[in-house]
Amino acid sequence: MRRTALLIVLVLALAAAVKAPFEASLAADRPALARSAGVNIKMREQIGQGLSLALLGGFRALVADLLWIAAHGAWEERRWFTMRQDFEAVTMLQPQAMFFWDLASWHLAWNASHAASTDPAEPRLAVRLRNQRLWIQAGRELLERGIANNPDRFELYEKLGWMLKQKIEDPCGAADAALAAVKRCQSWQRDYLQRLAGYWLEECAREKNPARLREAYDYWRDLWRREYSQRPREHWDTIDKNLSKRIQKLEADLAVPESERLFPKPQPSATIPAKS
Amino acid sequence: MNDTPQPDVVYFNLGRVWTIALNTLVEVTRQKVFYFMIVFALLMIAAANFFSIFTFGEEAQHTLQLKFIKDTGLGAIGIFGAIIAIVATAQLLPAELENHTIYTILAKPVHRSEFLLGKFAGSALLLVISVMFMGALFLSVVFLKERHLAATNHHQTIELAESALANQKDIPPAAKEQILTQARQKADQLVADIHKTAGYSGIVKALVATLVKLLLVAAITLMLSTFATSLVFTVVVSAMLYFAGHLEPVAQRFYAGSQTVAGKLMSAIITWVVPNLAAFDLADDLFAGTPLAWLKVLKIVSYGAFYLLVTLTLAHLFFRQREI
Amino acid sequence: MLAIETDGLTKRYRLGLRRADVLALSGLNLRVEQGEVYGLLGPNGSGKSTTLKLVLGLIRPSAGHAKIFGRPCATVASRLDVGFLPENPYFYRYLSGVETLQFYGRLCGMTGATLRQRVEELLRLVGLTDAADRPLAGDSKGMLQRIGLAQALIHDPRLLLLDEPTAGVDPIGSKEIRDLIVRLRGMGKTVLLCSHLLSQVQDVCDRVGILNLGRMVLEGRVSDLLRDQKRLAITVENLPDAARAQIKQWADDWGANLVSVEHPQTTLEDLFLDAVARARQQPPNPP
Repeated sequence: MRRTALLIVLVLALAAAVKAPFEASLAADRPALARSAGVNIKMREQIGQGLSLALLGGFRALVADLLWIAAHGAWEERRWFTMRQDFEAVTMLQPQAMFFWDLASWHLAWNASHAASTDPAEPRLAVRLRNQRLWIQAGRELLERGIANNPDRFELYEKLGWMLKQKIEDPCGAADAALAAVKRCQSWQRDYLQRLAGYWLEECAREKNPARLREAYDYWRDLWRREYSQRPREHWDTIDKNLSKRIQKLEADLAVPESERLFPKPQPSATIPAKS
Repeated sequence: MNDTPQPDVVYFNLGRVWTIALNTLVEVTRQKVFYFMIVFALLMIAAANFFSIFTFGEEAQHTLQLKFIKDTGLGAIGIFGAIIAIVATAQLLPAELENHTIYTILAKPVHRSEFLLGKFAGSALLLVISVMFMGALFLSVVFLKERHLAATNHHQTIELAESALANQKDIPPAAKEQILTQARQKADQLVADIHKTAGYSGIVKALVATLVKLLLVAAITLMLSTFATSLVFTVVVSAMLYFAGHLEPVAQRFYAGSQTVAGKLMSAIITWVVPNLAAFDLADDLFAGTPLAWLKVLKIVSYGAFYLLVTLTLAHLFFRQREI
Repeated sequence: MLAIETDGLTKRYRLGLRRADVLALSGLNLRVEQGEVYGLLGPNGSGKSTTLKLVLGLIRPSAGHAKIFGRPCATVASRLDVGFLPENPYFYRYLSGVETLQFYGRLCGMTGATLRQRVEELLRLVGLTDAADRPLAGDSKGMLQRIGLAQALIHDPRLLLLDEPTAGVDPIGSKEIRDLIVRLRGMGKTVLLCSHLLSQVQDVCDRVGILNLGRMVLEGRVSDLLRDQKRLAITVENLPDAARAQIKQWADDWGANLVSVEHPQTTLEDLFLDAVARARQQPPNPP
């Protein structure tokens, strides 16, 4: 009897000892499981997610789908506040589905805000513009919550970039978001994201913050050296041509010494290989 | 038989475990578990047709339609499986005690551990069969939906190009051919994309992880029933542990941040004792577009196997000293 | 070697935290010889079933120990040589008689033709050949009891433990089961049976022990226990009436009293009641 009790305690202790390292190893594969996961999410949100997980169990995702349909219906009927509530519920139920964060924030920042700016029931322009800004802000907040829930994913950072660029007219913020996306992306989209970050960084420097012009140049130069410089000029496509032109323009604008340039001015003796 | 000398030690024998397991399987299949299968089949058929009513435009359409079927299928398999695991397993020992059959079995040269493992294996066999049946049905619905979506999208894309060309008279045949080729490429790309969205290997992985989770739930239920005095206790506590297991990640975070003694104690118990059942839910990863590699699935399976071993060992320790 | 040997076998049940323990069995020293039919008798709650469970290792003794053919009852090996028929047996309702016996046979490591043959043999022995393929769900008490006996015998054990083998069975069925026990003794089996139906087991037991409140109050050969030492019964055939009067006269002459000219009516039942009454008058010994 006493021996059995001792054995039971022993087994439990062994299991408890193995538990933490084992789960840490699982979390290395799936960050959502990590003990530190969600430290940047509010406690209330965490408990909401946990409770919905427990109560709805396996049907959590399904309930999210149904609420998504409801949100979709609200969108069609232009009931924007209902739509927003449904989005809140959907993203709480399935915070790991990028798709929901992406589309929900897009609906808020683009569709709802546009509807607010052209609201026929509101004659005052100032109020319409303020409402438009509020909806865009709502979209941004939702998207940023999505990022907090999925800090290791690149997709939502890219979406944030587009939102900052197009709806908030903040190319510098957009550039930073794109850079954050690049850091997290390992798939084939990386190529495109790297250029996107460059364009926005350059735009930020030229239109808003001239102090970052050097940063933009350094970024393009490093990218060119890393990814594009190996290709012979005769195989250049529109992307290569476009990038080389941008770099040349930046080198001129920043007055980079000839010796440090990627594209030094042709010396009289040198000949540019003719394009075949 | 009398003249042959009998051995003085009877070793653990898998043949006896198997005999008890098969008998248990017959016993549990006589419970009404197969109604669940019928409900599941109806659910899948409903899910397959439900989303077609809504239109979300282009890409979102097939992504959402397939997601809906997958969520329904995995969700229902998880829930029905858990109900089967808890309810079928909880009554194994009480039924044996009530019918006095446990006396006749344990009066034979049978180890208690063989009996217990046989009971668990019978329940496990039922779960394997149920998940395989529901999984096969689920995969075929996804397959049919994929085929349907692929065919429609392919057809529409090419038709669109053809009708556009039909309206334009003066296009050279070479350009025409090129446009059609591009349309065909786009259609093929779409079909490949839909196939990727269907994600069969991801579904199979999610099913494997779900099965392991259900086996663990069954083992926990069996362990509880080795010392429980009533069926209701076993079912209620099993269900509570099922929820606690899914809440485990939250409890861990709560444990780290909790200030009160009671909160700390509760979350500590969950954090150190209850296995993290959320680790077996691969549905989110599936939809997030990051299906796990098989090696990582294997890691999750071995996590389940580890807890299975712990739970069954505890069950054995409880059952070994139980007075029957 | 003794078939069953117990030494100070004691079982105490703890009921709750505050309440006193219940002594289900106290210091039982039981010795059952090979080849005999031993009847363990007593009212409900006297410790008969507890004794069987202890011997089968289903529960653990609080003190003392028990052995079957020299093997300690805590070991699984001790059950190689035991067949057990529990009180009110029920079997898996979805199995037929044949399937039930095959299941138990497999548990004992039997397979294939050996098992099939053994099952057939046993069904013949217990007289269930006709009902062999029916599910047991609808079977009568007597049928279940016979299947129970057959499963107890499946691995041809040397010792049989039967708990209330005739309880709830109609008189004819009961008689058949008792005949079967006698046949088993003829086959060299040792039988330990528990019963509170005393008259039914009277004619099959070689020895009986009477338990009351967990204590053995009386034990001995049935023939010895039932012999009324003060009285003598003479059974005579074809005795004329005149001779009867003469016998009475003769007894009077010797100072004896002719009580009855019939068979003495003392039964095991009377003996049992007497024994229990006497045990109640005496204060129980400290364990």
